[in-house]
Amino acid sequence: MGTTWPTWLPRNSYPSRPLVAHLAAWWAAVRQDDRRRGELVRAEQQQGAAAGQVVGVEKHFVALAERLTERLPRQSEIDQKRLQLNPLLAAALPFVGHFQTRNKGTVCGSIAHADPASEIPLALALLDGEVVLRSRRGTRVLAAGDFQQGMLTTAREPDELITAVRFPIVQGGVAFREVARRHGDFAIVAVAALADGGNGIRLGVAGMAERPAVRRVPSEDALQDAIERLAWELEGYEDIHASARMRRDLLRRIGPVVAQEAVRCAA
Amino acid sequence: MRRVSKGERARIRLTLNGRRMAGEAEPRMLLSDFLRQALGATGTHVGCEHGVCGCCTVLLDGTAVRSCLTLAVQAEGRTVTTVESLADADGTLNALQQAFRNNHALQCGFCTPGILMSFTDFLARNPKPSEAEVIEVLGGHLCRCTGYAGIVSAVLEAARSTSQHPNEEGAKQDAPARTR
Repeated sequence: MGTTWPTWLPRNSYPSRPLVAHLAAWWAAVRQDDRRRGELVRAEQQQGAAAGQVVGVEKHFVALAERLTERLPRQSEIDQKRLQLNPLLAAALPFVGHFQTRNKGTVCGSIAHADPASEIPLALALLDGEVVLRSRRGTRVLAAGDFQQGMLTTAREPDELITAVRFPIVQGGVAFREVARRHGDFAIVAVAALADGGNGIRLGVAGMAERPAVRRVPSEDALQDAIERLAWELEGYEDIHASARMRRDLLRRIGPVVAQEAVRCAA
Repeated sequence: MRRVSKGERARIRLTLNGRRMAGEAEPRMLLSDFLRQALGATGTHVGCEHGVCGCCTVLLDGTAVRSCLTLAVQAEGRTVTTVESLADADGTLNALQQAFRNNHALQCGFCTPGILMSFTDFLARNPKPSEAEVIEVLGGHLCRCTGYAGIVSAVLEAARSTSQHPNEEGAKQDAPARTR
């Protein structure tokens, strides 16, 4: 079984072999958990050291808890530090809501609402973040792509509550832009980009499809063509604010700008 | 923590405009509907019912919130301030209301209760706002008949009048009790 026998447990003290086997398996699991936890703590310490010992960062995520209202990040010292670890969120949050809705709105609430043109779900999808759901049955963690399923539709069960939303710490350059009728409204089209040093750029688009779409697009010559294809793939939807054609056109215009901005930020 | 099951009517107690009141509400009932239907406080108007138009803005513990995005059960034990609190008992308008009247900042008046409550909170936090700040806050409201220029000048006039005479009649409603 490849495990160390606990020194405090006498080797021949248990007559029942199944029980001993059970205990050994349990001990192996505990040891493995310990090792994993140790690695996570080390990872956290490295991240913390890089970012100036940030308070409240778990693992490699910036976790935003249920009660954190969107207004707070501007005012609170600790949250400012957290947001420095996530420049995308810092860029997107000022576009979220008006004075009166921000007074009460929360980050987790925005994720739970799952508006297709909403800024925070777009940031979470682009960064491949996680949603922590809790109920009496227990806690489960879903990836952003699994959580948001469609127009205002999520994988949350009726008895579950979102207790935290985890944004990965950004490595690379990010950019965010949106077009809306009023500052603070849901976007007509919002685009976010992450230049993570990989092959191409991760581009996230909200307001075009029933949930945020994230695609990898080439960073150089083929960028405009890729965004053109993306615009036709997503099609865009019609509503009182804009036609599908206008949405596609907005994506063609702000998509390349945001992608190039992310590349410049990474440099 | 008090548990209320789906469909169960619960008794909600709150302080509305300085008076302790109570009414019954299902967990899904909105604060806006609770104020109007259960407590009879119809000064708060309901427009879009999804947080866009701003008609239903009230103060919850002194902070401007959309009552259509707040559940009645969330207001349990808290202080709610609505447009009915602004004028004196004899009908004398407060400084903000008087400024709206002076500047023709309302026509049909449907959106006005929400705008008044937003700026009651905002002016308490920021007694000397710039025009840009006023426009930013007004961006959270929709007015379909008067246009916004009159509202902006009314708020600026109210800010001037209350900051010049902080101890006079008009100023007292601009600083609601704050528990945060």
